[in-house]
Amino acid sequence: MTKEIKIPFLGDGITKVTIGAWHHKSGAMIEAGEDLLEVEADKALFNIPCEEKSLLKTILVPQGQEASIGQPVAIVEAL
Amino acid sequence: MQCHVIDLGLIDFSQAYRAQQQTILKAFQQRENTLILCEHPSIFTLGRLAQENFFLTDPAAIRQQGISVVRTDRGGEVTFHGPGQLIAYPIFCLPTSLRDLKRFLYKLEEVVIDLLGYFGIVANRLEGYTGVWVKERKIASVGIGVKKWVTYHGLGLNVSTDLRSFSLIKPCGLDVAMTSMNEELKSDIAIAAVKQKIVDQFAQEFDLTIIKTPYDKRN
Repeated sequence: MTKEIKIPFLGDGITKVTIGAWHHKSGAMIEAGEDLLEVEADKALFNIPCEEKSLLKTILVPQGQEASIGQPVAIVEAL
Repeated sequence: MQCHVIDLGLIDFSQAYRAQQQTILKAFQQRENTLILCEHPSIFTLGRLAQENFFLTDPAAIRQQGISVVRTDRGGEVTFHGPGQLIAYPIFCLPTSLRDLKRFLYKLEEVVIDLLGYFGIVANRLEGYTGVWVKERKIASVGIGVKKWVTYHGLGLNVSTDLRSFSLIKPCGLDVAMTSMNEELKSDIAIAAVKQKIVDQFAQEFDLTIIKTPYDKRN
């Protein structure tokens, strides 16, 4: 089943983040709970996991770009 | 909430980073909180997205002088760590009520502000610039990482730091004067006294029961 990975709620007053690093490339297999990417907000670097074992299909926002809270940043296919 | 305190003394940044990673695993597995205290030999660190053009000297030249320059997995720009700077790495399992990055950073600042007040230094925040200041001089820097809502990295407070190395960079990407507790008080403060007090302040700010833990460097 295809799913979107979205920027989660990170606290009051945080509306945007900057994509820090993608830990995997498109086409990679991600284990359940494995960190998928980092995002920076203020002086914090927050790791976002992929909750289920999945195939990373598409990275929607590259490193260095901004994303809003709730914005989809990747498409994965749960296995 | 219980919290172990581990004092690593003067320890290489990379060795302390390995200690953080081991401690993070304990946090994941056992929901164990740990406050790591230490100092580092001279090193410049950059956050994940830090800009290298905040070096005022070529980093290669800095490395040639035997000072490491390392990019690491924390927020924030470039900063300097050296002997006399008290490093605190809170490896905290944040409860649901504290899963708010800005609020956690605010509480780290509060730990330092209250600690400095104890020693007679009136410290403040500058709106829009995370960290702790004495008027317009920066005395402590903050930069954290978070995995599964477990925090790592933390803060660096200049106690008796040799501030000259900060002149090689724009600390935290800012045109800013750095200061230290010794500079502000015009006297020498024992870092051991500051370490004890920072543990008390963490306990107060985060409502912790402290357990002092010897660290086995063979780990």
